[in-house]
Amino acid sequence: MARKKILLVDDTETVLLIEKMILNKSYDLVTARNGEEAIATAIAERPDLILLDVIMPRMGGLEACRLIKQRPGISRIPIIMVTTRSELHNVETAFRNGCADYVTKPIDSVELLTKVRNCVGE
Amino acid sequence: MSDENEGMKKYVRQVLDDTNRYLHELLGNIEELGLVLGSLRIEKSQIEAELLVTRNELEQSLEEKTRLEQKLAQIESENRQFSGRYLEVEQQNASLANLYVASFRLHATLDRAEVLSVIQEIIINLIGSEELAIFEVDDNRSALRLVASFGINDESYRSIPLGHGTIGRAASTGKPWLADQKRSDEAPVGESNLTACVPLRRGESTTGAIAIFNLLPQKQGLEQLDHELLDLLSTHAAAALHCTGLQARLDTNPGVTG
Repeated sequence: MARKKILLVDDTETVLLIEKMILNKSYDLVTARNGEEAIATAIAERPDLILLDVIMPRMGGLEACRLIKQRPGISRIPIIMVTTRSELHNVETAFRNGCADYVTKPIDSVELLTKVRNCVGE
Repeated sequence: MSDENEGMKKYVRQVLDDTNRYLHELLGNIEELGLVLGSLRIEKSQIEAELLVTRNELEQSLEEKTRLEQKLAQIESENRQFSGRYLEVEQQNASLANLYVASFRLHATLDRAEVLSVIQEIIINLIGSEELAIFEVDDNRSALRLVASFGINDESYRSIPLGHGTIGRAASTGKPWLADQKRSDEAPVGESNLTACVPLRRGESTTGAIAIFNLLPQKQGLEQLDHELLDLLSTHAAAALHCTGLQARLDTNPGVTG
């Protein structure tokens, strides 16, 4: 069975490295550093899942999530938001914008793997 | 009279004939019943034999069922153990990954601003606090000077005399201060939201300190991995910052060879 592809989006190298170390055993990974890059990479790479940071320069994760969900061809890709802030209003906005789930930082590897597997249907 | 006798005799003969025929039929029926009874006995023994076989098979099935149930319980127990072990290994992997990433990031650059930014990234994303301060000991070795911060009021922490308050004491003694290892009555005055303060150490000397204030709302407290990350920051961040200083001197004096 072909490996699923995940797009990791975060402006900090530290978080991208951690996500890569958790996920690279089981998935093919591509990265982007902000919301705009995330949309372009999603169109080019057609990943099976997007891990999207909330606060990023140029375009944040909540806005990118909303735009991805409106864009034909990539609107059905499930999105997991990654956030330092787990306050209710952030989570509500994320779900309203179409995300499938969310994880909080610091990232718990078991929680992340469980949610990723769930979202890609494994 | 003789006619009457003759009729009587005829009647008696007929009764005898009827009786004989009836007896004959009865004997025939008894014989048939005997045969039926014999076959029923044979059938009964066959059924009893089959019942015995079935009973034995049932007993064997019950034993097999008990054995399989025990095996299933054993497999389930092993499965739980493996799941627990898997989680443990996964957590260990995650801890090692965090430590590796922190170390890798700290030593991946010789640019001072970048090292300070990486220290903040590690505290925000791996430890889980958006309120932090990074200090260095000033040239007179009398005070800590704030060199970077995130989410705090800089003015309150611009300069802290060595030995003053929890942060100053951690730097002067070279010993980390962790809120979760202190009693509540030891909470520092004016630093009540301080969660941890680790000295930056290069060998035996202290070169600065890192103070971490409130943790993110979803963090209940410092965990074992956080302690290890703070240990790592204490030495590796100090070394990384020191290397940026050496690089800066090399850059300004190209003739210097280390």
